[in-house]
Amino acid sequence: MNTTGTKLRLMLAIGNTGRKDDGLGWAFAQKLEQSQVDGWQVEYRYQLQIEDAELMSHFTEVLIVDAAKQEHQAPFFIEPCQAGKDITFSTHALSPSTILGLCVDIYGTQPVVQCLGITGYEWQLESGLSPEAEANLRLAWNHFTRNQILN
Amino acid sequence: MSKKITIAPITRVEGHGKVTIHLDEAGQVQESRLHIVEFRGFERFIQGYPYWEVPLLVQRLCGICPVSHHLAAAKAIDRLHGLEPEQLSATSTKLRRLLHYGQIFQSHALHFFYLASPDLLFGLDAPAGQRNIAAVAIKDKELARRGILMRKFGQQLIEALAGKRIHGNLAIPGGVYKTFDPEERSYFLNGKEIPSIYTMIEWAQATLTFIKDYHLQNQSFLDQFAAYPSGHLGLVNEAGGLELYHGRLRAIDARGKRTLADVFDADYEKYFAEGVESWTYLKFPYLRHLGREKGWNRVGPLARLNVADFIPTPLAELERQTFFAEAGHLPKNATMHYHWARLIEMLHCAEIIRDLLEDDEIMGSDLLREGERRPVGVGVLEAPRGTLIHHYEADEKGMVTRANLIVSTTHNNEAMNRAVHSVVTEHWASREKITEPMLNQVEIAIRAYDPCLSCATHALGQMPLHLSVFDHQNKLIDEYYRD
Repeated sequence: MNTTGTKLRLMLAIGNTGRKDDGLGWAFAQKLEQSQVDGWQVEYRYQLQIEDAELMSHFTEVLIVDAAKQEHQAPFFIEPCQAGKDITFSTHALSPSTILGLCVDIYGTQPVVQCLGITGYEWQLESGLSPEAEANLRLAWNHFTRNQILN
Repeated sequence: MSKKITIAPITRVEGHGKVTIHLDEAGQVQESRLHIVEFRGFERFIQGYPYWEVPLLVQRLCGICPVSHHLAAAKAIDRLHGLEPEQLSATSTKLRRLLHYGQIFQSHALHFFYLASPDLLFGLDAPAGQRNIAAVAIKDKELARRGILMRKFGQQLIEALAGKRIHGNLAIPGGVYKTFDPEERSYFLNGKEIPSIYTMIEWAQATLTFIKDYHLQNQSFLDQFAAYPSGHLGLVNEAGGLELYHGRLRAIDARGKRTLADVFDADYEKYFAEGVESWTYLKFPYLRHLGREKGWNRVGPLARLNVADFIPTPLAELERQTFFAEAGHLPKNATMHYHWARLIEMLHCAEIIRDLLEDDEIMGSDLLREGERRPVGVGVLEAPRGTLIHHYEADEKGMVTRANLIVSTTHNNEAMNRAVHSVVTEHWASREKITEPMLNQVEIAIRAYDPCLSCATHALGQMPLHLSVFDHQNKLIDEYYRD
C-alpha cells in the first residue's frame, strides 16, 4: 500500500510487469507516486480481488488503470464504470464493473469509478515496456496532468 | 445412442479444467474423467537457476497459493543449505509459521465464502446466475462482509510479513530476511484499524455454527453426495496431532488402518510413486507398497482431520470432536465434509496466529543460520489444499539440476475423478436430458476439493477447462462451455 498525502481518491493499478506491456497500469501508478500530486492511495494488483470492493467503499472517487489490447487503436481511453454482476468462472478474473457491483450490494456505497486503458502491443514473458507502449503511457499521463484529472 | 459429455471451464475453482463423460448405447455412464490438458513446465523451467533463488521463482506457479510454494521451497532449500527445520532459529521458524497460517486462513476464507458458499446457500439446482458471491451478498450480507474481512486479514498479514500479498518474499536459505516490529504486531492485535485476530476467532466460530446448522438441515446432502471410500494422507506432529508446517507423513485407509506410519518427510520418494495417463497432464501419486489401484489418497482439510489424533489448539479441538462424534473412530469419507473440515482448520489457524502474534519472539533479531551444503533438499508442508512436496537437487556450483513437485491437487487427482464418477453414476442415471443443474453437481463435487489446477500442472500461462458428452462411437454429441 502506498499513499500520497491525504487519502481522498483511490488508484487501483492492474498489471504484470513480467509480461511486457501488461506493466502499463503499474507504470502509470509509479508516475503518480513519483509526482507531486497529493491525495491518492495507490494500490498495485495482478488482478482485481473481491476484497477490493471493501477497499473501494471507503472512497468517493476511484481510478482503475490497466493495459488495453491493440484493438482499441487509440493510445488510451477513459470510460466510466457502471456497477454490474458479470461474475466469471473463477476468482482469477473479476471486472471493475463486478467489483463496483459488489461494493454497492454489500456496502451500500457507490463511488465514482473510471477506467483508464492504455494500449499495449507485446505480452510475452519479458520485463519492460515496448517503445510504442511507452509513448502511449506518456500521452495518457500528459492528458491526465494537462486536464488536472489527477489534481 | 451412447454419448460423451464435456464440462468446461469448471467454475469457481482456481485454474481451468475439463470433464468428459462417456455414455453407452443405453445412455448409462460408462466412464468419466477430469482432464487437465495444459503444459507442465515449471520443474524444467527452474533448472539451471541458483538454488537460493528457488523460493522466489517457484511461487510464480500460482497467484492463489504462492506462499505455500515459497515456504515449501524454502524448507527444501534449507536442507540443500545443510539445515534441518529444527536447526533454524525460533524467531525465523515462528515468522515462517505465521506467514503459513496466515496463508491457509485467507485461502480457506476465500474458498468457503467466495467459491463454496453459493453451493450451500442456493443448493444443487440453483440457476447459474445465482451461484456467485454477489448473490450471497444479497441473501446474507453479514456472511459476505465477514468473508471479505477474514480474507483481507490473512492477506494483510501476508503483506506485513512478505512485503506483498502475492509473490512477496520472507524466507531465505537458513531463515528469514526480516523480523516483525511492534507496530506491525499491534495492527493485528488491537482492532483499531481492522478487526483483530480475536474477532477473527469469533467469526471463525460463528461460521462453524453456520455449517453445523446447515448439516442438521441438509444431512443427507453433506453426508452422501459424492461420498466414497479412500485413503487419507497428511502431516502430523510428534504426538500425532494436526500439523500444517512441519511434521511426519501419515496415511490411513478408508477404515482408519495406518498405511504410512509417521515417516520422515524427506524420504517421500521411498514411499510414493506417480502414475501417468495420456488424457491429462496431472499425475496420479500413490503409495508404492499398495500399488496404483489401492495406494491413492485424498489430501487436504478432510484428510488431515482424518489422519490426526487431535488438534493442538483448544477451540478447534472441541470442533473436531463434534465433527467426529457421529463417525466414531472411523475416518470420514464424505466429499462435502471437506467444507466443514476446512472451517475447523480456519479456526485452528486463527488460534495459532493469535498465539504467534502474542509471542515476543516474532520480534527477535536471530534470523539466519548457516549449514554445510548438501546435494539434495526436500521440503514438505500442508498447503491449504493438502500435502505439498518440493524436491530439488543442485550441482557443486549451486545450480538446480533436478526439481520434482508433487502438489496438493495432484494428490487429489484420483479422488476428484472418483467424485465426478460418483455424481454421474448416482445422480444422472435415470435422466434422459443433461441439464445445467446436473452439470453444476459435477462442479460442486470437484469444488469441494478446492483444486488449484494451475499449480497442479505447473503451467506458466492460462489453462481453460470445459464438459463434453460422447456417444459409444466416440462422437461428440453435446458440449458445454462457460466463459
